[in-house]
Amino acid sequence: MNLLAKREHELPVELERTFPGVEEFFRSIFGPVSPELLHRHHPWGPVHDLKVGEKEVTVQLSCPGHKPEDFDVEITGNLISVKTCCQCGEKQSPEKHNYLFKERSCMSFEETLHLPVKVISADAKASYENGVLHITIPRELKKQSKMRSIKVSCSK
Amino acid sequence: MKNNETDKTPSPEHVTLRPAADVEETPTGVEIIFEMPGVKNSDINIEVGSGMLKIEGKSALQRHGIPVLFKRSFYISDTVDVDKIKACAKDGIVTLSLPKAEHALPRKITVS
Repeated sequence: MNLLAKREHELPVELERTFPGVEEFFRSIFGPVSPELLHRHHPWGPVHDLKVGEKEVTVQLSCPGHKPEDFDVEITGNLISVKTCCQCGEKQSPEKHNYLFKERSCMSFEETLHLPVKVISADAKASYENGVLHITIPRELKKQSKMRSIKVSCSK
Repeated sequence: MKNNETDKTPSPEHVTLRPAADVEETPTGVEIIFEMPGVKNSDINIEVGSGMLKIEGKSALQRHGIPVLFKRSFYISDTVDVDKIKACAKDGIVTLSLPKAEHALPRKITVS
């Protein structure tokens, strides 16, 4: 069964990492943070999906117009960070174009996501197809403990 | 208790999103660049007619488990040569080239 990972009532991981204790500080003043506020997407970040399957975690980021070599993907513990640089250079400079209107933005971004389960980062794979970055990371499955029966002996 | 009718309500087939676009005027026409991530070339449908250009693309992306459909339309003037419109797609970017019709191109007149 796939789950959509949510960070309910939790401040963004990046904020807590940069300023340790900030979460506790905000909670003491404002109470729990509204989930609507946290789930609102960053206006300049890529849209992403994170699915947790039985065997693997899948992350999809929509970043059209890039090349596979533009991406820098790092996994540290339960954090996955994706960086990309704008390679458009002068080509996208609005001064050299006669735009009637421009909605697309061409800029570098860095997105850090918190993975809700333990993963094997060494076996992670990434591919870029039709403007979507796919990252698949196998889950670290817990070893099932063997059932063991213990005999109860009478103490003499 | 849940209403049975509510339970039977079919979920939508897709979530329709408006793709971001740049429109640039060139000396020979107009170029429209759409961002349509997750859309294969074979899933792009472009229609031109009645002064309207419509573009649709089924994406592999999902929102809340529902497939995404990119959809947008533009009014085009009669100065566009509809028969010569070209489209190409790469890395989630769809580029449409709308050339101006010959009668709309600037003419150079030599002074005798």
